[in-house]
Amino acid sequence: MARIDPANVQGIVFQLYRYPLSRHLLFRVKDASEARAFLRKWIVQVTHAAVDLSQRPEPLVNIGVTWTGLAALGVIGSVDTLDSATSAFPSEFRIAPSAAIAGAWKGFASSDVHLTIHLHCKTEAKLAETTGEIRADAASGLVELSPVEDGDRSISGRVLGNRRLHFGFRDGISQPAVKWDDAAAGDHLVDFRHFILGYSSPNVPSSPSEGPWADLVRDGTYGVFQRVQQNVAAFESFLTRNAAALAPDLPIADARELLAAKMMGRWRNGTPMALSPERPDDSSADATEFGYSDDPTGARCPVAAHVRIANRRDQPLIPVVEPTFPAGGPHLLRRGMAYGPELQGEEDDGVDRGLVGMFLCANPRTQYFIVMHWINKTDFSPVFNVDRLHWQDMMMGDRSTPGVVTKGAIRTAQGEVLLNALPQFIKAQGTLLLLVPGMKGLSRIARDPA
Amino acid sequence: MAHALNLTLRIKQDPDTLKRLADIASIFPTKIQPKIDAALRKSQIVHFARVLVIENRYLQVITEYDGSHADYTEFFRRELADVFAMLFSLAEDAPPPEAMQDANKFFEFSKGLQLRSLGDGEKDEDGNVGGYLFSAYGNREVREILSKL
Repeated sequence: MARIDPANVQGIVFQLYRYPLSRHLLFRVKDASEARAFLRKWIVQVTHAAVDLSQRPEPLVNIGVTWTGLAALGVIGSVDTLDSATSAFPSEFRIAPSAAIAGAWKGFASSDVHLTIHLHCKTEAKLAETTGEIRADAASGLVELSPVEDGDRSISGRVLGNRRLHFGFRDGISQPAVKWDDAAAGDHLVDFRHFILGYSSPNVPSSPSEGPWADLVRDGTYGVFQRVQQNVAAFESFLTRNAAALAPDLPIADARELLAAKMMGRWRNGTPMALSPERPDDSSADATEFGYSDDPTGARCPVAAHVRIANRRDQPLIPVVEPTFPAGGPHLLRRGMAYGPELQGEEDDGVDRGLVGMFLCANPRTQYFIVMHWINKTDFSPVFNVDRLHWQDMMMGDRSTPGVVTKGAIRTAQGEVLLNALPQFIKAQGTLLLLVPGMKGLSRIARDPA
Repeated sequence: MAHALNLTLRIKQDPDTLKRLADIASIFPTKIQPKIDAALRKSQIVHFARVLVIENRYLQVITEYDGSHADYTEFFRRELADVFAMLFSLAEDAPPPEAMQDANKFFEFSKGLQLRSLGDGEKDEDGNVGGYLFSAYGNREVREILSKL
């Protein structure tokens, strides 16, 4: 039996920060001793999960470390050997995902990034002030890596109106309800082991699972940090071109919204298609308790709608996939925000916009990467027609995945409407696999070797 | 779309291991093959499969399968736990048997045994270009083919 101590977990793991601004600074270590000194100074600023956020203090600060960062900071060697670290840590953390699926950072490789600092603020003034303090303190030990060419050289996010992201959908509705204490009631809650390292179990395994490396990572998690470009013009113009075919009897504006909702699985206000397939309903806009078992053919929510793939809920798995999820899932904690200005209309203005954030999980292979596989090829459940095993998530599928069919299908009362040649609506612009250490783990990382 | 598993382990050359290898070979048709067969049929993702021994120095498990390598590995770790324990016990640098109870350790160890074939094929699920693998059926998968029979 175990219980998570919130004071030892970085706050971003425990809860979605509902702050309007974020900034993500990426660093390479140039002097390990100075870099560790920087960490020792800034650890006291790190927001852990026992911090009272009811008064909305700012800034909120969180830190991530990469595999190459553990080496650059001298952790590998001081905790244990490189061989033992290589055996202990999962390959997904140690080996950067290929640019083909992860995107490529401009000007540097993922392996160049050693340390990340994540800020959440209420005001531009505090964001600028904290950024300046970090940069000043980091200068002797760290080199900042800048993937952005315009404006501040870091990656900055901001909440759009009504918690929307650039495709117009409200975000942050559905997050796993986690059972942080084994002894607590709530069998329907998600075991914390899906997100917190250091408590590996046969049904919810994570690694490192034993020895000094497990001690280091305990109460931490893995974060898949990504910058994802969203092609809003392509999405909006796709809706305009195809809406009438889906709903010829509706005004075009309503037909567009219906098509958008069918592709996402929720209306733009958040209403799940599973609960209200014909119109958005404010009373269920924040609904999270629903399933798809009474909609096996996708008559309400299409089987290839994004939310239905990214969170399978009660959908069954095919036999070969089932053993991977003895404790349910895959579960992910999503922490993201929009970047870039909103597009007005459907004409592409050439401006970069999208989503920046992290997917948090204890086992990237069976959580994050599995979901990405399903998004790119919907073959995990018997709900998918055996003749359509090569189809994709209508919203987020990577159309360059080998062998996939870039079509969508939406069932209507009049029959099935096919969407042909689904465009590429999103594109990864860089991905990092981070260890988001617990507080004790951070202190250990920051310690100078004996 | 089919992917290639070219799992190749180097067999320890001590007399005990070589004796066990000979024992495994002798019981393979009656005691091991039926288990493998049942698991393969249940999976509905494996096109072809075979196990080879090369000059008592290398053992290979060669298959062509559909879908995610992570799912494939975990399914067969559970379905054929004793078979894999038997085969991995022959291998140099194999982790202790109890480590094979750990899904992550099993995955990492078996991934390290994978050989890439010559040439260039399709990108794998990690986005890396895989080795050359010819399929007369294009990217047809087992379930698709079975549904048409």
